[in-house]
Amino acid sequence: MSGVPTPIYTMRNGSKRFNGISVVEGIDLDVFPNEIVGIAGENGAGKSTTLKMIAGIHTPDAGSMRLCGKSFRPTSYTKAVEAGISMVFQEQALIPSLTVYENIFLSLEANFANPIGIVDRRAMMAVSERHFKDLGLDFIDPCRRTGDYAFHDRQMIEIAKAFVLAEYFHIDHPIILLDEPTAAIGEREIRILFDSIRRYRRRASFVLITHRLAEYVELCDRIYVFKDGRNVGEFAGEQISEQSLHRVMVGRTRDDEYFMEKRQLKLVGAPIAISVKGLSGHNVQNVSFEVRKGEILGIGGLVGCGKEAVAKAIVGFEPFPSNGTIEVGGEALPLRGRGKAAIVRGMGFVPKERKTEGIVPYMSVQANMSLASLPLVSRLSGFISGSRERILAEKYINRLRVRCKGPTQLCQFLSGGNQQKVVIAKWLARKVQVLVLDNPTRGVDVGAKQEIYGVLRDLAEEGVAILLVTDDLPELIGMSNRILVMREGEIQFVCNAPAENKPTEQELVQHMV
Amino acid sequence: MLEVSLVGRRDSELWRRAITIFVFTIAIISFGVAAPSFFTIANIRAIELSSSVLLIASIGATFVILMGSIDLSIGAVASFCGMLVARLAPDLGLWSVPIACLVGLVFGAINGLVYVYLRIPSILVTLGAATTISGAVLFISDGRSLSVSNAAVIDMAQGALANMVPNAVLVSTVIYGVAILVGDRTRFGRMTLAIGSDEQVAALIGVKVNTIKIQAFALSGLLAGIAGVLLAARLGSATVTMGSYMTLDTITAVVVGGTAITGGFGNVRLTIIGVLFITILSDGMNILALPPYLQTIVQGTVILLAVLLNTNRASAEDVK
Repeated sequence: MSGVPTPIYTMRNGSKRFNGISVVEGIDLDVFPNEIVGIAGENGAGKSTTLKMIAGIHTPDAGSMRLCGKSFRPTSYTKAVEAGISMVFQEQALIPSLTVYENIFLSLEANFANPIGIVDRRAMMAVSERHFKDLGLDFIDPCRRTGDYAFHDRQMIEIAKAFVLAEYFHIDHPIILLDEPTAAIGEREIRILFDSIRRYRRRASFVLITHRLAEYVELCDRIYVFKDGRNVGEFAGEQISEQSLHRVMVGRTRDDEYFMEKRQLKLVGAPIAISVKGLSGHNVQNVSFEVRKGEILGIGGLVGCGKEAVAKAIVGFEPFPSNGTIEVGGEALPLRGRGKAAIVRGMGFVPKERKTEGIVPYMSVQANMSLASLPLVSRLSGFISGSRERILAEKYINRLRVRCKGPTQLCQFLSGGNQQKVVIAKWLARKVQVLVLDNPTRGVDVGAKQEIYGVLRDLAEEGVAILLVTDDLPELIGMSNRILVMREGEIQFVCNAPAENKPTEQELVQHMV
Repeated sequence: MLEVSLVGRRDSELWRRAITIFVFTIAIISFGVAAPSFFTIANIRAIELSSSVLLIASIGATFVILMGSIDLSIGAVASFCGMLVARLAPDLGLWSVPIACLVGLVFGAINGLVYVYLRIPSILVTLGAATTISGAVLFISDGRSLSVSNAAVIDMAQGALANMVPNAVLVSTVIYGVAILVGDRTRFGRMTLAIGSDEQVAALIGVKVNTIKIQAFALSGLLAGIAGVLLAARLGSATVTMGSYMTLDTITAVVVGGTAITGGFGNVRLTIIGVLFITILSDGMNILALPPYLQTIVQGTVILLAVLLNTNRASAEDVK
């Protein structure tokens, strides 16, 4: 950065409407060279839409964009890439069955072809390899199948692809757009990703969207805050803090109230609801713990530490580690048909993959809510009673404040947070005694998150034992009565987390890595 | 409770449905104008009868397709069961009917078992089954057509309640009504849709996914059997390939009815639209005396257009 910095990219008065509804309006946004810019805001604030306007995926309805001093009106993503803007998509855009280098040069193969059309694969491999080396990604072999790499490695491949393409189109300084890059990776991978971004900023600018405010604070030089499709704040340098962002984003200050820590129960001598003894198997070694009625037990740890497998073993979600015993109400769960047995004993499971494991998108809210308790809404004839089902659904729509047009609206059209409430309602309808949740607030906006926390507090007060497996540290700390930290399949650390004396993130993280 | 449907309704869906029915009406009116004999009692009866048979088979196909699977053996099963009834009718009389239907159920159940326990995709299982069963039809008939020589069996399809409603129509209406209830208001109906959406959803609420799958295929076999028996009784004779048209017609009917071929969206209620569509189109062209080869070409084209109109392609994530 020399002299007076001029923005490499500007958007002025960017606006976009879908079906007549304004999604973003009057957005001004600058990106300077070597800068990491964040766009913060709740779900539906217009962050993704803005990113997609920059990437040429959506054409703005009004306003102007400039790139490197020239007017910039990309008509497609390809055009944006040619101009030096690449996006790392939340749902990855790499084809798993192709090799890494084939993915990188996908649709550009013609440039490596000799006159009769045969592609020079060696050249493609060599260019890929050189870039990986430059970017410190030597461990990635361009000739391997992309699908063989883990999600976070594929993410790095996408970022590398942005640099390769930039060079290819003679762009000195690409802009790389990151749409929720940390949504699906663990703490350790996030560290690697962030370190890389910090290193690569010498050669590029980044625009970042994430669900975790702490990541903006950690990474960004400047942050725009969006609310309801408008720019409501801009923070730079020292001004950036979670509190300041949060205040502007949602118009309320963040404090212990968020996790309703005052409602956390003090459990003395509460009966044991579930007891896990010597659970072992693939990725899990000798895990034992108990959850009492009314207790929220949190399990934290890096992705792959085995915490998900523990949840799976408890609810019988195959495949799960099969050695050891799990007792519910003093009786051991069988190995065969465990899923069914767990449910009969009053257990409920809120899985990680909401869309494929939690809800049926093309079923109504009421049909989804009654799915696990059909006998309760059926008549003597065995047929489901539409009116009973509706009454059940209305009860939980009110109780969980599910925002939908009514019990017959399809789940497809609900926001992530409201879909998650439907999944929880599905179990509440069965009057569960034990609720196991795997990352219940992943991809859920801040407001709906807090409502879900409220529901968990309600359940705990009613005596439900809750096992909360989560990658979200504040959630782990804020919600749990007791916290287990797992590492490489073993319980590494256990601590109490009473409302008045919560452990810090640092205390927990040191046991995770 | 005036809810039209509790499962699988979309607002834009209503519009598409309205357009389909509009086009449909136009087609019927133009057939009527072009051929005066279209609106005669005799022709309407003919449409009713052939719709009945196809509707019964298509109901079974709907549950299988909702689940994301496919049953290519429906035609062969129908042919087999029709032929079986013709074989057995002289000796067993009306008893041949439940026996033949039961055989359909067994075929379907075997399909389901092979699909589930040998983990072979349903399209391949039922493709193999179709060929095998077609062979079996030749085996039990020596490759000849057989007449159904039992008055009671014939009457089952050709007779009419109070001389007004043909028995076959009665049977199919009852089956259709029950199927709607089963689809909307039973665990089985809900779970077929859930499995079509994603098996994990069903598995995680303690449902034995395999059982539901086998049940759906058994149901499809049973209904294909009933359709075959009714067809033989209606025609008064059984031929070795008489049911084979059903395999593709049922799939068409289901898809024109708006059920996603990938499963997870749709319902059995609307399958009747697809059935009527196919039957009326071919009947109308027959009455207009279009050359048969041309009929086939028109049929194919119109079916594509119907699918175009009637399915929500925008919502499909991947079209394969």
